[in-house]
Amino acid sequence: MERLIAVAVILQSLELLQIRSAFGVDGIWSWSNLRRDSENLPRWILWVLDQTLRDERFPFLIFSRILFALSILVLPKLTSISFLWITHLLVCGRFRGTFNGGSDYMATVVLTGIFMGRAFSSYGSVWLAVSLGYVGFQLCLSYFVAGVSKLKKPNWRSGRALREFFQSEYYGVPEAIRKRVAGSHSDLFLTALSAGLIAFECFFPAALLSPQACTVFIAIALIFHLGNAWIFGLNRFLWAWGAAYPALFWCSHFWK
Amino acid sequence: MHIPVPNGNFALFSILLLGVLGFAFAKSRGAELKGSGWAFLRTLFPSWRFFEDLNWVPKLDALNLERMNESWSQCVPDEKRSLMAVVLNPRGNLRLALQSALEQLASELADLPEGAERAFAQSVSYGIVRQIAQNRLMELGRLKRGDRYQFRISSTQPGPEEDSSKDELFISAVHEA
Repeated sequence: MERLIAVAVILQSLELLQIRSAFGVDGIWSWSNLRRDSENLPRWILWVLDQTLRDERFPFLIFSRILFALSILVLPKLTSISFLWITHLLVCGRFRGTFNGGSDYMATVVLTGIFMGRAFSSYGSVWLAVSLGYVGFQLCLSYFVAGVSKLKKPNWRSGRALREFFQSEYYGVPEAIRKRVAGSHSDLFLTALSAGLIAFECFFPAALLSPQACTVFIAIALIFHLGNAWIFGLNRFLWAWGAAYPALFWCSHFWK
Repeated sequence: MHIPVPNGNFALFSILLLGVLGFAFAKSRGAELKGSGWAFLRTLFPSWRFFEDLNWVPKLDALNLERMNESWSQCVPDEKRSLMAVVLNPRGNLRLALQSALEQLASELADLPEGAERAFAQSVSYGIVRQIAQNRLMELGRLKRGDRYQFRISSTQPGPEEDSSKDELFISAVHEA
């Protein structure tokens, strides 16, 4: 799990470095503007934020995350994990909560779980169990809550919401797919796809029943996230959720 | 290091306790919970309610007022993706972040009390969107330092007619690049 989240952090950091002009001095997320959100914080905290998040320093912070993540690939240690966890929170704060929504939330959950497990394991290995349980539970919740929300909405049950997502320019869906779902001939397909998605998400907690069930659900989830990465450009979800699956697999041994 | 196999009541109790905490927290998100401590707890127990609806899509356009013969320029353009985007998709994720910033501003605009327009124009969200508009016009070569410009936010219904069915929500004051 530590190595998987390290891969996610490396990829996310490489992406940020490629768009670093967006958080430079004249960038969209320039520190001179964003800093105003933090002006009511204690002065010492504001000083720390200034030292780490201002425009000239922020790329170095991101680069250092890559280095610490690479070290985790070789040998996971508490210091590296602590650094990734704390700097992840700083990066999220820099973008006023998250840069990319859900994937940042899941990365927070995974990094917090790993940090807790490593930091408190000297007080008893049960803390590792609690940490893995926290990540596994949050993972199940992420699918289940999404599924139940969709189940309650008629436009999701009918497939209309899925059509809107496919046809909207919001996610930059490839033109070929947008044309394929345009006509009424795809109504049945979209309804079936929507029903399958809702069922998968609502029943996801069943992955906890056994390691075999867990393997099946993880396999379907990987296909789901790969599809989202390709169709909607949501690649970060693939890596963030992927990093949480080992915790889920561990939790699936409950009933053995 | 040995990790205890989760076949004990303690592990189950811990999971249930975390679940109750997380559920209670998710339910309480509608209440006013102020303070950075609560914000941190919210981060640890996200609501996970994403991609429920695409009720409306915000659009941002900008115009250089020194060049009135030009039309409004779209500020969040489409980005073509390759298969490599499954691994690395910086421009695509940037585009999504820009859309989120637009949504944030539009949401603040919708909740704006009477007489708070001045404070709105000085907000962090407004500054972000203003910078999106300015930078985009400069990227297109349609704005240089000292030129005056405006930006506008429209809302559209998602779907194949997104570009043709815009409702104008807001036009900014005149700004200087």
